[in-house]
Amino acid sequence: MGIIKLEGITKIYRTKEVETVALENVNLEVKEKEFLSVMGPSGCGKSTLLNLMGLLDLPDEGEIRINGIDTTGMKDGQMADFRNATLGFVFQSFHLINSLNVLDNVELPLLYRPSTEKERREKAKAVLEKVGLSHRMRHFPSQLSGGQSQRVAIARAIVGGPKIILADEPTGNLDSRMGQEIMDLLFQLNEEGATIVMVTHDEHIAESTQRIVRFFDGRRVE
Amino acid sequence: MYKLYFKQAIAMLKQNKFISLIAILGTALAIMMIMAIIVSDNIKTISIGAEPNRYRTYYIPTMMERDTVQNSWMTGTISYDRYQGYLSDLQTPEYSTIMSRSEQLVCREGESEIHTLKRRTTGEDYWKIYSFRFIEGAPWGEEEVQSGVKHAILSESATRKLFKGEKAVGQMILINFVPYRVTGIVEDISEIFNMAHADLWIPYTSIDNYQSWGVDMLVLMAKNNSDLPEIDREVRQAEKKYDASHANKVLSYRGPAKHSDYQLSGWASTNEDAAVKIRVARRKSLFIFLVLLLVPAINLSGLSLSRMKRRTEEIGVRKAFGAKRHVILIQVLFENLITSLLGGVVGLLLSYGVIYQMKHWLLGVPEDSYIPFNALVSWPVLLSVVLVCVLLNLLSAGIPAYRASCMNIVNSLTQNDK
Repeated sequence: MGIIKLEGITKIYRTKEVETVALENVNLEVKEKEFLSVMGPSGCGKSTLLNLMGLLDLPDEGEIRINGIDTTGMKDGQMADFRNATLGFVFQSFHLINSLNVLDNVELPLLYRPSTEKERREKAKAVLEKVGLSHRMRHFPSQLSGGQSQRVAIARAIVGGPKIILADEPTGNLDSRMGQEIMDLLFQLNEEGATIVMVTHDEHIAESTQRIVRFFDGRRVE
Repeated sequence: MYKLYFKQAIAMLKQNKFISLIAILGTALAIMMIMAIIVSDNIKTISIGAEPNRYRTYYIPTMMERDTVQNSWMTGTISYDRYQGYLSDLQTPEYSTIMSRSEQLVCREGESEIHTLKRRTTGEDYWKIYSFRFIEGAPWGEEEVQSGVKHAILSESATRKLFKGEKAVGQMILINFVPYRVTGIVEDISEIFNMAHADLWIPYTSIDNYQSWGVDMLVLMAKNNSDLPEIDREVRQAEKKYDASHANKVLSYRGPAKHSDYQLSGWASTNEDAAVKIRVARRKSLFIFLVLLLVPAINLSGLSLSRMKRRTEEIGVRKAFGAKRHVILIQVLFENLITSLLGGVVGLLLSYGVIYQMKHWLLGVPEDSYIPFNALVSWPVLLSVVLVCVLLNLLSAGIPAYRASCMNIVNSLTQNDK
């Protein structure tokens, strides 16, 4: 059984004048420990799909099951707890908090679950060690390169030990060398047991993952 | 978690120095105005210095006598016989004394230089209700008051004026051309202690025909402040006693009034009149307080909203990683509270400056009066400033914080991409 299962997912964005169908009747299953790439042209609904998988947004129709749990009808607080425990996010533009140093940024997901400061510090330091940035933990995001920022973002995504990592174009803002470093890190996490769903424009990077699903105009085409 | 919020709040203050300065100054000015009022009120009511028992001191300043046949009434200060016959033997108060204050012409015997000094006539319990530091001599006792001996106690500054550094105790002075012997000198007290303050004190019995003079005030000090109902009952009994022995007369003493209530009501002939004045004064204070709180809160709210807008992305990230709405709400309010508290400290210091510069207007004391440190810095004042900061914080950051907590995560995360 898949760790993520989407059935009949439709998402429509509405403004006063316009309705835009972002996803239409999408069915998708992601297996546990799979590394899946989502590809397609801009505006095809890739990021919307990732947002729905990450419970950052709600579908208009359809059912999302994650880790065997039906997320339909979950309340705001329940979804927050679920995201915190099960999901890790890596964004294209890193989304690090500039007023916090690297260690505090990485610690962030642990703030929203019961843990002591000591525990948080130890876990954050351990994952920073893992991404090779333990020497930068007192630095602020403005003092880091793009690759380093993304590694911090990955450290933040994995510090809570989530089963699923959702990465939205994690190499999109990086040069090819740094992009490869990030991909190597994601492959390592996948090998260690994490399920990864990655949105990417890069065919070469996508081909290195286990499976590719393609979208066009809100529909799965492959 | 709060440690991290604190770190972040300080980091953000440092990042946007100009905006932070504006926010802190805006808060400081708002708090300055409110605290100037609170501190002034505190100075008038706190139990410290020469008036350490304000919390259990009650005043009967006036009376009203109604003639039920002629349908006429007379109001004014308490006449001596209405005090002596009906109020002098109240059982519940620990101490009680009558007192009057007036300006008198005073000079040293044999000298022509005349000074206008504030004279207080009072009884022996006065020295137990109020607190003085005697530099020389001692307060008079019951025997001296009963004998009507013409003894005077001078303040340090009055002594300097009259004796210019020479020994004063044992010397004679003329008060309104009547000779008095100086028996004591006390340290000057600030005029903010308006019940205790004077330049010289004499026993009320030392004035010729003192029985024919009115009494400015009857002061009662209870053993503790829970005795007020019992004291009130005794005063009402005294009224009935008078009414029973005077046909067609109805006597009403105004009071016993708490120190704080007396400060608010000032001159009022009856308890009803005083209650109306207190109510009006409290409503006025509440109105001023609300205006002083709401107007800056609305202004600061705009500033908070613009600061929140810049943090939209961060809030999206926090929510994505599991922060619930109430957690975001608490974080924003907590961080804003840091700014409010910094503004509160600055505002409190500024309010001290305002009180010092405007003490005549705010406290009704001469410009050269000093204000003791412990009247300015006290627990009620410090608690008030924190409370005002919390209130201002809730009013100014409540709506921005709520809006931040309700932000859609995807919209927040893509804010900068748009």
